[in-house]
Amino acid sequence: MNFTISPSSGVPIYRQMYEQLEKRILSGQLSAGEFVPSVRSIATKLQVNPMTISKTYSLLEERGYLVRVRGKGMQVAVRENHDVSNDRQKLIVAQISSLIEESQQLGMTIPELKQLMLDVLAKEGAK
Amino acid sequence: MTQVVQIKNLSKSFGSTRLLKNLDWEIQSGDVIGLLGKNGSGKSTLLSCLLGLHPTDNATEESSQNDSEISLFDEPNRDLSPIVREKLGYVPQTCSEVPWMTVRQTLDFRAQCYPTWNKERESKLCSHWQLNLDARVGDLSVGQAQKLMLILALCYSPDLLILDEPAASLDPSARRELMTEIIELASDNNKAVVFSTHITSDLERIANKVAILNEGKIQCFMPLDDLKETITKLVVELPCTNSEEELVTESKKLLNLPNCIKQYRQGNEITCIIEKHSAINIDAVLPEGANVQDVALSLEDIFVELTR
Repeated sequence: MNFTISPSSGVPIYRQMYEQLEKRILSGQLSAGEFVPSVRSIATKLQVNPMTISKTYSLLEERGYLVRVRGKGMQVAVRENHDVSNDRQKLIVAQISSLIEESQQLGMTIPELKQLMLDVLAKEGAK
Repeated sequence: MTQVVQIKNLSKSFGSTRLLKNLDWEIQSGDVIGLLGKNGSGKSTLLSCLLGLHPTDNATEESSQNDSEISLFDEPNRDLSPIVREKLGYVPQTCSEVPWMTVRQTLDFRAQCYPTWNKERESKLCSHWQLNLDARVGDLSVGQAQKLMLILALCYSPDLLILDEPAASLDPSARRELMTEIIELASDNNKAVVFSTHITSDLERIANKVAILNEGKIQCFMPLDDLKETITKLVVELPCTNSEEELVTESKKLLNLPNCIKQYRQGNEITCIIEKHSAINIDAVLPEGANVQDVALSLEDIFVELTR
C-alpha cells in the first residue's frame, strides 16, 4: 500500500496518513475485513516514527474505521451503509466549505459560485 | 514510561559567556527527541554536560542557587554505576576512537565490552556502509569515521542514545539507513534517542518530540504534532492610511492576544506567532479594514520564528 507524505508540511504526518486512509476506506478501495499493514512495516517503508503510525491507527479506530484484532493487527471495520454515506458526505462538505471560502476571497458572490457549479456539472455530465 | 534523564538548573559558562542558563529538561523512555538550536547555542555542550563529560558551573554566591542536578536512570551523572554506563550510547561530532587501531580491532574491542552486542547488525551496517575493516581509524574520511562511531553506538542497542549531528557528514543513502536504525530503536518503548540536527526534514520524520535550545534554555519542548497543530502565524495587514502612532497602538493590542508568543512589525504588516489552544477571537482586537492571514508553519518556519 502506497502513501505519500510530506514531512515538512505544516500538517502533522499522522494527519496526512489519517486523511489518506480515511479516503481509501470510504471509497471502498480498502474493503471491510481487510487488514491494513502493520505499524512497523509502514514506519520502516515511509521512514517515520512508528508512534506516528500508531497514532493514525488509534484515531481511525476511535472514529470507527478500524477495529483491533488481537494478535493480528488492524482490520477495516464493517459499518452500516448510512454511516458510510454520512462520512462520505462530511468529506465533501468540508471541501465545499473551503471552496466557498476561497471563492469569497476572490470576490465571487454565492449566486455566481452556484451558477459556476451548475455550468461545470452540466459540462461534466455531458461527457 | 520511565524517566531516563532529569536535568535541573544546569548552567555552563565558557569564560565570561554563560552558554546554558539554569536549564531544566526531562527525557522519558520512548522519546525520540530532535534537538534544534542555532550554531553556537550550546547543543553539543548540553549533550556532553548531560552525560557528565563536561563539568557544569558551580553555584555562585550571588545566585545562591543549588548546584545543577543531572541524573541518568536515577543516578547522579557524576557517579554512574557500570550498569547505567552500559545503557548509554553517545556519538560526538568528532571521532574519538584510537587512530592507530583498525576498524576491525575497534569493533572487536567494543563488542567485548557489551554483552548485548549485535554481531548481525554490525556486519549488516559495515557492508551497507562499505566500511573498510582493515583501514586504520586515523585514515578514515570524516564521513567514514562518523559511520564507524554510529555502528559502535548502535550495535549494543543502548537505552539512551545521544547523537550529536549524526547525519552531518553522511551521504543520503547512509542517512536513510541511519533513520531506519533509529526507527528500529524507537519501536522499543524502553529506549530513548536524542539527536541534535539542522536537518529539520529528518527530525520531522523520526522524532516524536522537539526541543528548541535558545538563549541558554530549552525554550520549547513538546510533541512535534502538537507543535505543528498549536503554533500558527497570523499576518495582519493594516490599512496603509494608518499613522505610525496608530500602527504602534494596534500592534500593542495584538500583543495582548491570548498566547501571543512573538510579534514583529514591518511597516503596516504585523506578524504574530500564536500558540493556539482554542479558537481565538481575533476580530475583537482588529481595526476596521485589516486583512488577516492564518499561515500554517513547517518545523523549519517554527524554529526560525521562535528563535528570531
